[in-house]
Amino acid sequence: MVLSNANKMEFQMNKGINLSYSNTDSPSTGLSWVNMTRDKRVSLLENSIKLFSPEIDINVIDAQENGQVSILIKSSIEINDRGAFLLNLEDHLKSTIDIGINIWHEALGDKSSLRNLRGIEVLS
Amino acid sequence: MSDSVMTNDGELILDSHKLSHHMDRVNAWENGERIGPVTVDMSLTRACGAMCSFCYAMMQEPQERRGIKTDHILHLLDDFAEVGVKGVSLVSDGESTLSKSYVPFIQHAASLGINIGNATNGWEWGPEKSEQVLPHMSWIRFTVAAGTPERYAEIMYKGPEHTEVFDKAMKNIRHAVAYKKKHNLSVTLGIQMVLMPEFEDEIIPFAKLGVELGVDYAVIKHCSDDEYQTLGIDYSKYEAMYELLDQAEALSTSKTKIIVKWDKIKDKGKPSYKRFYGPAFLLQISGSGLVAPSGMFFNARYSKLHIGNFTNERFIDIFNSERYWRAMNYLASPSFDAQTMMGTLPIQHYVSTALDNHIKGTNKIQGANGKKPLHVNFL
Repeated sequence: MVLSNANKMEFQMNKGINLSYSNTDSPSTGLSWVNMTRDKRVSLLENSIKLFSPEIDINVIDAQENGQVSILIKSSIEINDRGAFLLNLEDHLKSTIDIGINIWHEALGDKSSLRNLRGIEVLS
Repeated sequence: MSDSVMTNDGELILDSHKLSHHMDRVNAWENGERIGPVTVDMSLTRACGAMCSFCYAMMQEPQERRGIKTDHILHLLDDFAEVGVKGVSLVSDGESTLSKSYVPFIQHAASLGINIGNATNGWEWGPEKSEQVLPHMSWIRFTVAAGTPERYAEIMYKGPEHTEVFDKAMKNIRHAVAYKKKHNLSVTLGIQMVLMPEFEDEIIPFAKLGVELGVDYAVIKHCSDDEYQTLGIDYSKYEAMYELLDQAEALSTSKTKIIVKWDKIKDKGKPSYKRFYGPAFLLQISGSGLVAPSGMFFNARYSKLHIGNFTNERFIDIFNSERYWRAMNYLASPSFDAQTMMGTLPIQHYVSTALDNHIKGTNKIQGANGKKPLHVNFL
């Protein structure tokens, strides 16, 4: 690597892309999360999300054992703010519930009426 | 790179990358600098008159579609020039030839010294349009799903009886080939088949059609799918087609090269990399105006990676924002796993593989010497 470990934090905050993790595995969910029921996970997430952003209305659609969480934002958030908001929310859930959590918004199907004749359903 | 084909116009690289010719950008990236993308892949609209059964755009619907006006795209190109974008491919998630901004976009890009390529079905690309853009283009690649009219119409449109779309495309491709020859243009003309296992019967007819049309190349590539296998691509079935693909390549002539994207076809849908470094070099923009690192992330599902929309904010401001670099860093972090959290074989696949191998030290990217290949600014 070009940068020393001591410089990594500053690097992350102020510069380009941190290239330190090419060999690192993504974190898995812990036993506590895995052993929870789906309903318990959803409830835990919804409570944590309300604490994080009481003004934004978010539904938790699914919370899988492997940490993949599907949500639906019901409030309007500008495109410029939406991504950062969701990344902040994910950081919050990782730090307060389980580091293996990844959040994804509910998928949207194609709005093209012509292409929709194919009958393809976008899966989530 | 050895993964190239010699055409009458020069060395053509379709089954690899061209980072070796952009070492200034690679070195800056490795040194932690914020680099502008070498190439942007984008569309001027999400609309399309076709309904290809293999179309990834069916999985790319974002929250909002914004109308892209000519003012937007002229500013966008000015901003591209400012951040160092060298090539723009009009591919992405829509049929750009349908946009009123199509001709002005290409002409303005040319005036700025930005190279332009375009993938199109060619249906709305008659002489009155094509002749305005061909002199400014680096390449045009026509999507030709099959070599026979009925199968073409079945795969790309409403059914096998609608062969009028095939006829229209062939007429416009033939005109482009003749116009290039008459005016001695440098533009490379190709046709492309997106291979799903059920299109096996069309491999040889497609190759023969390419030769008959007299295009510079006819390429056969894999079909991408999302991580939920929405299109249901069974990558294990590609192997049974290797012999036919070899036979197709053997039909190459001195004028027309038949090219199979072996690297992606043999990849079987699972990348070697966990981190996704490619988008910093090859950025994608949706025909909805959405700026996201890759087309893999256009759907609302990946909203956390949606950076902005160039129709309500200048691209240069999006590029310089912390949002942009946070999204790029997310893809380089352990929070993101390219093997499980995105679709297969993105446009950044070759670049991402090479950058990952470079960072791991398993295969360092070496600067290239000698004559540049065709389309060097399209990574």
